[in-house]
Formats: sequence, structure tokens, C-alpha cells
Amino acid sequence: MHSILAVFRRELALYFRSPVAYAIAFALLLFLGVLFNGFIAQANAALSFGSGIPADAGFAPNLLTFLMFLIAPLLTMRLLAEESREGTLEVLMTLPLHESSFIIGKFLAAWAYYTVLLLLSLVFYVLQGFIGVPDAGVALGAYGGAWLYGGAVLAITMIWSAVTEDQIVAAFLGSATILVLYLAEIAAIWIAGQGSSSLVADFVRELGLQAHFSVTLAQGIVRAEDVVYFICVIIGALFITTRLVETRRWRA
Amino acid sequence: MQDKLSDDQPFLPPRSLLLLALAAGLAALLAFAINADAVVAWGALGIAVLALLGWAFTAPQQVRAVLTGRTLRFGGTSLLVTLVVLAALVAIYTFVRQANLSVTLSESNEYALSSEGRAAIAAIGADPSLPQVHVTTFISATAAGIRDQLELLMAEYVSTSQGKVISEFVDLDRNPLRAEQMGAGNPNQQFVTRLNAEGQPDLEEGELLRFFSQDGLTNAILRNAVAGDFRTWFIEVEDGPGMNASGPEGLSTLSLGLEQQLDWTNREVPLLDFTRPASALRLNDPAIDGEIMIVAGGSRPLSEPELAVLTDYLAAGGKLILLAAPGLETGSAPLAADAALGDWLYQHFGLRFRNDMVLDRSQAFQNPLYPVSTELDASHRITQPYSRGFALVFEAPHSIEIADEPPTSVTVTTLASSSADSYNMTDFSAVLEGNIEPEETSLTGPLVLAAAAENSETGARLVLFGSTSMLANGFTGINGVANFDVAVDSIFWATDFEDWFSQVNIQSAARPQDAPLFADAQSIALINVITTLLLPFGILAIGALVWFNNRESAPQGGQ
Repeated sequence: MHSILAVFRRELALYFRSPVAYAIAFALLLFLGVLFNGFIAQANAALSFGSGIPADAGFAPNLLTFLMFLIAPLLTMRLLAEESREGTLEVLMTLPLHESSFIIGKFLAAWAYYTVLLLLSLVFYVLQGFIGVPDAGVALGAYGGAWLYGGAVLAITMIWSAVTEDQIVAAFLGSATILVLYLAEIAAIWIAGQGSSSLVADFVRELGLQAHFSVTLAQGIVRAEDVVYFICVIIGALFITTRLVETRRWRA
Repeated sequence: MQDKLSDDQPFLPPRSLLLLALAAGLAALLAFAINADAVVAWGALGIAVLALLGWAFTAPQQVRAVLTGRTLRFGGTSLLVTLVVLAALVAIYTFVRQANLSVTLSESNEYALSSEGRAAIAAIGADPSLPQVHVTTFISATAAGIRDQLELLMAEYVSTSQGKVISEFVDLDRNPLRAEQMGAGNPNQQFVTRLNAEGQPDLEEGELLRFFSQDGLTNAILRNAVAGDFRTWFIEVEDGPGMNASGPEGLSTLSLGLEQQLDWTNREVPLLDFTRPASALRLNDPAIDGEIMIVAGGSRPLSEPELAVLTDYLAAGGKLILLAAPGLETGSAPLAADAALGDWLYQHFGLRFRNDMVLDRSQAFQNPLYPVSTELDASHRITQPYSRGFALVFEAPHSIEIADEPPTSVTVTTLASSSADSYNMTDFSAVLEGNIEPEETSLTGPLVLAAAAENSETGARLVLFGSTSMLANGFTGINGVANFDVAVDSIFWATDFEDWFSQVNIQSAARPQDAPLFADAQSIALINVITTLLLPFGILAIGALVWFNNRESAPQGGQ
């Protein structure tokens, strides 16, 4: 545990000393800010036409989960690929700590940085509270869900950082994997539309990320299976990453 | 000994062939799962096999490495352990999924029962006399997201009703016949019905909800569980308008409306049918939710046995709507204005028809024989909605005499009166000859043309209308004329149908969260500054500061 904490502190400090992390936060918040202003303008316009748009407590978490196919690879691409390219991974492996310790430590650091981003996005929920009544239950579910979703996505993209020494390749493969998992629900609809067994469509859908977030957690419905899905993805992805790093011991 | 790749690599890297084999294998697996006969599936499988063979031929040393030595020893173990861990995770997920545990944090009425709906459904569950209601929800993999939400909501319906509501999900693609039987064609449509004697969903009596709404579903469940048994007895009388007659004087609009829109049971019967020993007809049945007797017109007075049926029914708390035949139809006293019936009504309810005809030369519809009433009582439930801006048109009506002192426990209300310029005539032959000048004994307006009486002790309710034009087909749909609406409302009032209907027709209250967003110019400006300037550029400034500090400290650290 001490070794995990040590790696976590070191990696987290690296994040907050890196201008890239601030650039990611800047771009993300600016993007969300512009969209939020558009949303408010749309709500005002709708009201003038006699209808109206209620507050959307899941505004920021929903957008964040979509943007994770860009953010997660940027946050994790260097974690292992850089260590591997610079040869420091082998040095780390000579230290008296298990591979899983520094992988978990690095993952927790990335997740902590993502948590800070998520917390910053709470400003959109607070601002809606001044001009409407956002559903606190939906916010709790959506933010909690987005946090788990982010953890799962970061863990998956870490696998590619362990596979390749090239950060760009790791980021590209990570991004593609997240997009595939994000679009699994659409793929399931397509498969169902082909007239095949709906079991296959259901399987593909269950595999995807959105089926466990957008229709349940993002709506304030907390299902045990969704929470367990994200936890299992995190554990599974971290286990695979550890195994991949471990191969260096017997491949060398 | 470790096998190393030869420097003399083929043009196509062997590893890419291995990846190709893997990708093609996965594609084949997916294609077979979607459609086993697909050419694509066989093609992908062929490519996978060829790529695997190509890899084996171009890099035999890699194949050897995989099958022998360290890779097999360590890699095989590692792969096995990974597969076991992943299988354990899948097993945990499957176990939790089957446990179907969930908590709804949202206050939205969309995916969790509203408080009004919960109370209504719980009431069904608590009543052992009510039947089970079967809800079939049609689903499809193309709308799987909404299916997940409906599964949660339906589970709440089932648990809240203590099993009185039975929920079933039917896949439209797998069971198209079932969908056809219930008239469903799209996912998320629902068919609500009670169970029949065989314990199966009653396909004849159910209703299809084409669009999902929680209140709509709750109300459909209530309607099916608490299916109201309301009956209308149209009494067969001489020269009376028929229940199914579609002409201007007929009552088909009313009977069809009650039957088709409100699911009432209508029967056209002679009064004496209720007393025949073999007859299954029964009045004042406590098992039913409501009944009403409608006596419309009639040129012949009731016989003694018929009158006995009617008066016994009223004395036992019956509900009656009595409409007098137009005065011109007969020279003698019609059914409604007959002395025997009139005296009984006057004695027990404090009102009766006069054997006369009301005429109005100043406020009439087309001619004085059709007096128009605009004086509708604003306090009574029957006429209150029409007390302003509506009128009632009566065809040669009889006036109603109301006792100064109504009998004990009886309340009499004048619903509609003719204008002050109206008057009555008793010499029908003079009217038929065109002489409509008031007689010396004529009563002058306003004369009562519609009245309601209620006996609070027996529960009996009686509504008298001066003419059958109140229910006739010919007086429906005339702009500003509320004949039909008032007549229907009098049926609802007499049977307490609205009270019953309000119990099976809930409306969830709007939540504060449903209120639309509104930002004034000042708020918009503030939001704009915070979200597009202060927050993102503040973060950027901190980042620049951190970068600057690191740049400053780097040389110092190096010294």
C-alpha cells in the first residue's frame, strides 16, 4: 500500500506540474462553457415560444463521458509508454515493489486528475441552480456514474500504454478502443435491425460503456450491475496491464 | 533458448498476419452470430485461416517459440491466469445483474413511480377483491435503453401492487404473433388487461397504450383493475325515441358515447321486464358501480304495474332522468305529465310536470315553440360549467312545478328556466291551429324547464327535463347550445360517475425540477463570464504560472 501511495503521489505531482494537464483542463472547460451558454440561450428561446427546457443536472457529466475518448488517451498515453521508451520501466522493475503497485498508483493518479476535472465541472450544476431547479438525484447519479466511467476508460487506455512504447500509437489505439466501446450501443441497434438473434445485440450492448451509463446512472438510476460493470472493467483492465508489464520479466 | 526473429524478414511482417488472423477471426465470429449464412462470415473465416497459415509459413521460428520454451511456459500461465480472472469478473457481474438491485435517486416521474401513482397502485394491491392486471411491454433490441428504464419502473409497479400487477416483456422481433394479437407495432407500447378465468391476459377487454407515459399506464391499470360497471336502462315507451335511433329525435349519440367512450352497458327494456320472474334484469343492484333509468318521451301514461316499478326503484334510491315528450305530440297528458306519476313525484320529490306547453316569442330558437333558456343555475354540478355563454333549447316543453316546501331530506334545484317573456298554454289544439296568444290562465315566465331533486336519505336522484330535445341527436353539435352536455352531466351527477372516475384517473403533480430554465440578461452575462472566461482562462493562467515556475527552478536544480 505504501508503494502504491508513493507512486500515486509522484504521478499526481507530475500531472499538476505538467502544463499539458492544465491545457487539457482549459480546453475542456472552455468547450463545456461555450456549449453551456448555447444551452441557456436555447432554453430562453424555447421559453419565448411557450415551451421551455428544464435544468439538465447531467449536462457536464454526459458531455465529459463523450469526450473521454479524447481525454483519457491524453492522460494515460505517457504513463507506461514513456517509462518503457526511456528504459525507466526496467529500473522500476528492479525495485522491491510489485508491478501492480506502480500500475495501480499511476492509474489512481490519472483518476484523481480526472476527478478534479469532474469536480470543476460542478460549476455548471451550481449555475443552473440559480436559474432553475436541477434534479439533485440525477446530478448525484450522473456525476457518480461519470466518475466510474472515467475510471474504466482510463484503465482501458492504460493497456495500450503498456503494449506500445510509442505514446502517439498508444493514444490512437486507446481512443479507438473507447470509441468502439462508446458506440457499442449503436452497433447493437444495427445488429438488432439485421433481423438476427437479439441475444447478440444484447451482448454487444452489454459490452459497451453507454448502456451502463446514459440510460441509468445519467438519469439518476443507480443499478448495482452498472456499478459492478465499471468496477470489473477497472480491475480487469488493470490486471491485463499488469500482466503485459510482467511479460517483460520473462521475455527479456 | 530464446528464438529471435531473423533479420531477413519477409515483405509482409509475420506479426501483422497474426493480427489479421485475429481480426478476421473476430469478424467471422460476429458475422456468424448475426447471420450464419452470410458470405461475409465465411469469407472472414477463410481470411483468418489463410492469415494464420501465412504467419506459420513466413515465421516458423515464432510458431516454435509460441509452442515451446519460455513463451509457452510463462505466457501460457499468464494467459490462463488472466482468463480465469476475467471469467471470475464476468461471473461476478452476471451474478449482480441477476440480483437486479437498483436505487432511483432522481425525483423524475419518468422512471420511478410518482407519489400519486404509488398511492393508487398500492391501493389496488391492498384490495383483495380486485383482479390481477397484466401489463405486456413490447420491447426490441433497437430500443434497449428505454427497455432498461421500463424494466425498473415495471418492477416498481409489481412490488408496489404486491403482485397484483403482472409485468411481462415481449420481444417484438421474437414474438410478432403476440404483438399482432395485442395490436402493438412499435417498441415500448404496452397492452394492459385483466386476467380472464383461465388466468390468461384477456385480449378482448384490454387496451393498448401507444405512447408511454407513467400516468397513462397507471390510469390504464386502474381502469382495468377497477373496471366500473355502469348501466343505463333506456325504458321503452310508446312513441318514445329509440336508444339506437340515429335520426334527429333518436338517442344513438348518447348511447354510443356511453358505450364506446366510457364502457357503459346500455339496455333498452320495458319497465315490466324488471318484474318478470324469469328476467335476469335487476334494479338497485348493490354489486354494480352505478345505474340510471332514462325515460324519454312517451305518449301514453304508465300503467299501474309500470308505475310501481318506477316508484319502487326511486324509493330504494334509484336514479332517474325523465324527459317529457313535446307537448304538440299528443292531445292527452303524455307519460311524464300524467297525474298519477306527477302526484307521486310531487309527494316524494317536490316537483312534477305540468300538462302544458311553454312558448316564448322573444327568446326562442327559430319559432316560439322552441323556447331557449339562458338562465342556468351556476351552483349545481350539472349546469355550473354552462352557466355563462351557453343556452338550452327546448322543443315545445312542459314546465315543471316545484313545491314551495320540498319533502323531508329532499333538495330541489332549478337547473334552467325560460325567459320572463315566456308563458304556458294548455290548449294544444289552439296552438296546432296557429293561435299562440297567451290564455287568460297562462302562467308567465320565468318557468322552470329543467330541475334536479335529491333525497339525501335514500340517495335517490331525479332530473326532469321539459322536453326530449335535451338528449336528441338533432340538438348535438349546435354552437352555444349545451343540451347534450347538460344531459350527459346530469347522468354523471345522478350516478356519481365523476367521483368514481376521479378515483381511477390520477394526474401526477408537476415537480419543481420540471420548471423551465430562465436567465435574464444580467444572469446570462454573468454565466458567460464565469464559464467562458473566468474558469477556463483561470486554469490556463495557473498552468502558465506552474510552467513558468518549473522553467525558473530547472536551472537552479541543475546547479
